[in-house]
Amino acid sequence: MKFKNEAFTDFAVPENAARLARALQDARRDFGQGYPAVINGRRHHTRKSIRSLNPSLSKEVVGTATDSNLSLADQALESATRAFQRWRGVPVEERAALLRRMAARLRTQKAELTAWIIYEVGKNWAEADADVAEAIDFLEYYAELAVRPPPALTPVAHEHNRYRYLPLGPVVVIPPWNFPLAILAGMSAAALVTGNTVVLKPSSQSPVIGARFFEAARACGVPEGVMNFLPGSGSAIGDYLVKDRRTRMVAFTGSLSVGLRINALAAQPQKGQRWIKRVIAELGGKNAIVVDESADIERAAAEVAASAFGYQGQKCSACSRVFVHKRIYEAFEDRILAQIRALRIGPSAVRENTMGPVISKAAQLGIQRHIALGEKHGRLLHGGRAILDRDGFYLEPTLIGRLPNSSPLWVEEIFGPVLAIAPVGSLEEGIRRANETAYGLTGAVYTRDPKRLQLAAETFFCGNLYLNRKCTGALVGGHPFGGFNLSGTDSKAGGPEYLLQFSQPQAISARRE
Amino acid sequence: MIRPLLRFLARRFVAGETAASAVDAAKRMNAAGIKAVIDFLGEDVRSEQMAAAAANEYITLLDLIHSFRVDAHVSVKLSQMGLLVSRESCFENVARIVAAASKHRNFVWFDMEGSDLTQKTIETFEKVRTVYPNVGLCLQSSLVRTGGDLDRLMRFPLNVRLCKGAYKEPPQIAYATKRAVDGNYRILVQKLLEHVKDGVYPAFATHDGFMIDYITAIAREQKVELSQFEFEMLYGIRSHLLQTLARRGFQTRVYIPYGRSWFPYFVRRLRERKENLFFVLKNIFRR
Repeated sequence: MKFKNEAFTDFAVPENAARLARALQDARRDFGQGYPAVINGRRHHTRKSIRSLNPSLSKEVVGTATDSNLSLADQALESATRAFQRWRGVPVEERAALLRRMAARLRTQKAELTAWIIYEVGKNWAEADADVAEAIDFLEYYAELAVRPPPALTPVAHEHNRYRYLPLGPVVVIPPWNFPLAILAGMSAAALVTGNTVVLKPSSQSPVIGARFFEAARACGVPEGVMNFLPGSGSAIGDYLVKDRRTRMVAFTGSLSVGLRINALAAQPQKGQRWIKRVIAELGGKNAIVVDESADIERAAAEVAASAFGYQGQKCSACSRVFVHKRIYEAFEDRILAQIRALRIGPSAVRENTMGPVISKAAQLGIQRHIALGEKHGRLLHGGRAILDRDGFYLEPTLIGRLPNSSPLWVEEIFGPVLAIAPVGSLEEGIRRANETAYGLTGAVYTRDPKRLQLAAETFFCGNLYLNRKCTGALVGGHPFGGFNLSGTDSKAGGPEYLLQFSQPQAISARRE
Repeated sequence: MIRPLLRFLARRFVAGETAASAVDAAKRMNAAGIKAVIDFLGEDVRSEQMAAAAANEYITLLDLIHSFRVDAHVSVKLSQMGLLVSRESCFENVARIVAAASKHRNFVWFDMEGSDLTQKTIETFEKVRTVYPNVGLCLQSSLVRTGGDLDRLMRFPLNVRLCKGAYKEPPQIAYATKRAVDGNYRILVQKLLEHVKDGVYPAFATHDGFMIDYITAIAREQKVELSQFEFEMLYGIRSHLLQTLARRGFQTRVYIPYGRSWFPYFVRRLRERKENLFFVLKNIFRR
């Protein structure tokens, strides 16, 4: 493979920092614009609209988007269905070239997109930059995968046998707000490059990034109707899109409850439906890191803190539980507290701030409810409060200890900057506790003992297991990403087999006279 | 008024102003089965002459120890040997002391000071160690770096005194709470005792009864002989405990400071243990 990961921007280089600072100013000038639904190349406005707020400064409206209704949803599916007849016949090389053009375009718009991510979802500079880099990676990686020849078949006498991948049909793509560009671009690109058409419903927390990606895609030559942009609230149009008989597949990344609902709705055949709908769903995690007594404490503490508090813990891969060998527990606790105290909280647009806000008021309240529970059952070692004297949805990074094993904080996903810590008697016990959730997305183990690394590899049950490395920051191509059990369908985004889920293989066998 | 009073109180922790008083104190401790390590008080020396004078004092001290047949090592601070003036002259001073000690078959410990000097102290120690085997280094469990330093230093035979560290350090590089400093101390105890078989000789400097129990338990677990490590305490602090340990067959050593520059040493002792502060306050109010 020729594919290489897009390099992250080094903001220590003054020109790079200046470029993003300028892009942040420019973006701010464009705040409050309206972003319409685009179906079959036509723009649609509705009277109602979604307001996307800047979580760092919640009185600022980043932009407004059409709040699509059922009629628009119907038109979008119709458009995707009709466009599929043309798009399926476009050679894969051409579709792959489209993705490459999109990647190149995103690269030129990097600072601009980074700025919008910072404003719309509250990522810090580095995380927002990584989001754009990952989007570029998905586009280039899938472009390269798509043109790979299919696997060879076993020869059969007097026959000529072929194997090829056909597209499925209209795919409803429902990405999350926490990687508002990367996952949205990745799922859309996978669907497009395999010959499917797309109805893209961005998260109602981040429609502006979605719209900006969509515009970039159109400018690169995605034909009308092949991708349709349908911003709206999940509760209004989500069920309709999933249930409709024209929908061939749903690609979803988001919460467990919504994922299970989509799976259930998609399973019910509708009148006139001629297929079993395919659903891929990447859901939550309750990820754990286990640190044993031989580990490099300082490094483990730094990386656990990064895994737990990077993007305020709002990653499905984030670490929310850490099990530490009792022999090093006190020292580890001290070091992670030092790491936490060094975090700087404030508006994401300010470069020095390592921690920005959580996505919304509702998220802030929900996380606080979990913290209150933790405070009741265990002991608050750091943080725990919302920062109310600022006009954004800020929460202190929170460390909770002495939780009884029965506490829901050990099993429920919080999706915020909350980390539970407990001493364990051995690495085995740590891994056993780590496995005690219904999720199974990421996990990490820190130990210097090669035998125990082996043991961890054999017994730690999660889709992405990291040894002596933090459990966030998966790279396209290098760390195919997806989880076990209720973490989803383990579709392994950014992995060599991801595109298979957007295609159906066909075998053609011809008699040779 | 206050200074004579403090001087009186400091007498609890300091043997006296002369080398003879320290050797005398060491002899008394030897009688109770406790070895000694003698420190000539002084730090932050800013002139080459004063540093050289301090080195001369140590050489006299070593002669005295030898002629009185006292079982006592010596302990030096590199900032007293002129580390802040020039690394070269500091190295020369230390080398002179270590050579004199070598002649008397004695042993020189390198005290560890504030974190600004940790790296330089370790580097000087390593340089001396390549020439003379009769040197040992003090490391502090309050510093985060210590585990890594040990990993590196233990590649060669190492005499190491493990203490907590009584200097005020920034939280980025040091454990902030007593709980964590103790926690790291236990980690390092484990690490040191595991490496005794590779030529590590640890001296555990602690006054904490629970820590001592922990150390003896790990030593048993690791099958480390009583002759392969020792306990060390400061002059004037929990000397009964040290005597008890000596009677139980452990190797013990007392750190005896002497000299006129007792003030910073005294302040550190007050800061590190509240019992020491109580002792002082009790005496102030008794007057």
